[in-house]
Amino acid sequence: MAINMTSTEEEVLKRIRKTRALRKAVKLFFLIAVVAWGIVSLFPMYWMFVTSFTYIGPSFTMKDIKWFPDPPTLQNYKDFMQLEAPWWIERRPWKRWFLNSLLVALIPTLSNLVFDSMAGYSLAKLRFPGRNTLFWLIIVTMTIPEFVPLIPLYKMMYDFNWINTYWALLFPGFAGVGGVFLFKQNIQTLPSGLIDAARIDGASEFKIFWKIVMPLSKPILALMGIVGFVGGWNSYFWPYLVTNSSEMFTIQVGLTGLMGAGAFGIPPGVEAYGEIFAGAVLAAIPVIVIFFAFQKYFVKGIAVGAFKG
Amino acid sequence: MFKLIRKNQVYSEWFWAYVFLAVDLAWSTLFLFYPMIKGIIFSFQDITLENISNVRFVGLRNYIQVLTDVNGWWHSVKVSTLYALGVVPMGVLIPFTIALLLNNFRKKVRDFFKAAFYLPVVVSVVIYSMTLKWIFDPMSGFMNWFLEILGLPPQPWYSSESQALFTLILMNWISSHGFGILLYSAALDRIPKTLYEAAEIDAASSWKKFWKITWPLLKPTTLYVVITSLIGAFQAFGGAFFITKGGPMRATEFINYRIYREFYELGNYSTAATMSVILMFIIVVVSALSFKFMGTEVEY
Repeated sequence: MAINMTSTEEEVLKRIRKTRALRKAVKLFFLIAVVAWGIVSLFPMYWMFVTSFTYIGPSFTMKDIKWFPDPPTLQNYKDFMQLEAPWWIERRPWKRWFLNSLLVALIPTLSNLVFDSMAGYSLAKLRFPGRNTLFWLIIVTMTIPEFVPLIPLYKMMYDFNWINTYWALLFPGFAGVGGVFLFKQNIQTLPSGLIDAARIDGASEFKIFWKIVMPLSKPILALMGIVGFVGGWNSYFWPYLVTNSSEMFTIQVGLTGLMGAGAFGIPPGVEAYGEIFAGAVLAAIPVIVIFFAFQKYFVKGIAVGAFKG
Repeated sequence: MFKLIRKNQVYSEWFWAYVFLAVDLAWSTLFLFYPMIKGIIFSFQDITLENISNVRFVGLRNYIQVLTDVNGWWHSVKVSTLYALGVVPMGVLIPFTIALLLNNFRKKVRDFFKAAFYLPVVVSVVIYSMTLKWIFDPMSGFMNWFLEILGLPPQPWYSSESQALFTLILMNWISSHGFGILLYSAALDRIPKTLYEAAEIDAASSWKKFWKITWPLLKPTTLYVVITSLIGAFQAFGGAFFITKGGPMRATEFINYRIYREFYELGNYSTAATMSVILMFIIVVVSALSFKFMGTEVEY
């Protein structure tokens, strides 16, 4: 009997070891699959950096391709900034492009934080006639294709004589509905008791908002600020529509122009990929830095639905 | 007396509610609600870049014109539909698989990979598109070099009529899944561990656990991903705008690119507005259909 017991114990141990080995192998296989897909999805970014440090002449062919820039060169960056261009060539105002992008990313984001949070608070915590209608209006608006309001809005900028001005670039985005929705969803979760208590103590509605709701909404404010900044920095279509002189371009529109994707009189066909990617890297660095600095906010953003697919 | 105070309080709440809403409401009305309604009105008028002052109502003429335009509008609908059919299944399958695989690792490893997968999403469409254009460059791009290493013939990719649409679909496959991966990961985290423990006591196989627990509980997430990627696919624009310009031979003329051309390049405001209203209906119908087929409630 005793011998039998040990043999079954051994068998059991063997089986456990076998499953463990199998589990390890499966896990390793999973890891390889995930790493492989990670390489595939990060490769375009890697290639952008590599290209920006590789000299790409007009006769660049497949034989010139290398995994690493060898030797790395800053020539493309000099070309993008036109440091060595002859004097008669008109300089592209690339510093202005970055400044404009900064304005587009910063100013509407800040005003959105103020106005959207106020509207969100109102919808979340105050009772008034028309509240539900308004909320549904916001939801419906968020699902309507961009082009429906875009065409009349463009014509409006035209009628206001705002084309190619900062008014058109910045003004329409000062307040919106997407942010209101998220603020409403978030402020709703704050305890109403606090607000009622302050009201009984005679605090004004504005004081309640400023001294109680705002401090408790710091996480969502930070999230919306980051998402707004990145979204503004990356936006290209509206700035592309409403600007037509180089000084008013944002960096995204400037890069689009370099690519000859728009009607900028640049013949399609030959692309100056070297300097294009030098510019692209410079334009990507701010958002990459922000992403690494505020990683957890991006992950949290998913939970509250801050991003559209 | 008491009643009066209560009433005043209610009115004061109304008053402040509207004060807090005022700026946002004014802004949204001027720059969003009004243009939206105006866009629908445009679709019943004959407004173009040349005819901007003497605008008349033309009834359903624009709609008839667009909907009978087999080679124009319906061609774009076909292109967008094919694109959606190519993009949406992978838009579910890839994030779902990656999230499932990631779920086997420690939190630290998981967070590292989630960040890695999300990183490309924060880079602008402009930059991402030009990078992919360069990688798939038919003359001296990375992809053809890579095919050569593998001993395969080079491909014309987006420069040929027959491959252009497929190239854009392929580009979508290898990119932009960070959002879906985070979404599925979050949904997987929400599944109670006790369910799996109970299944283990019943000696359920991994296969059975997947089909009886994981898949049904992730269904709302899947429905959400399907609908958002469908809506995204029918509104695809960047690839056509930056890489193919709708070509070659209009092989990648997506609905939104067609609208952009009518609007910005040709100045046919009314036609473009009509098309975007029809697009709105297409999106509503497609979303409703996927709701019907997958039939669950979304909890987002």
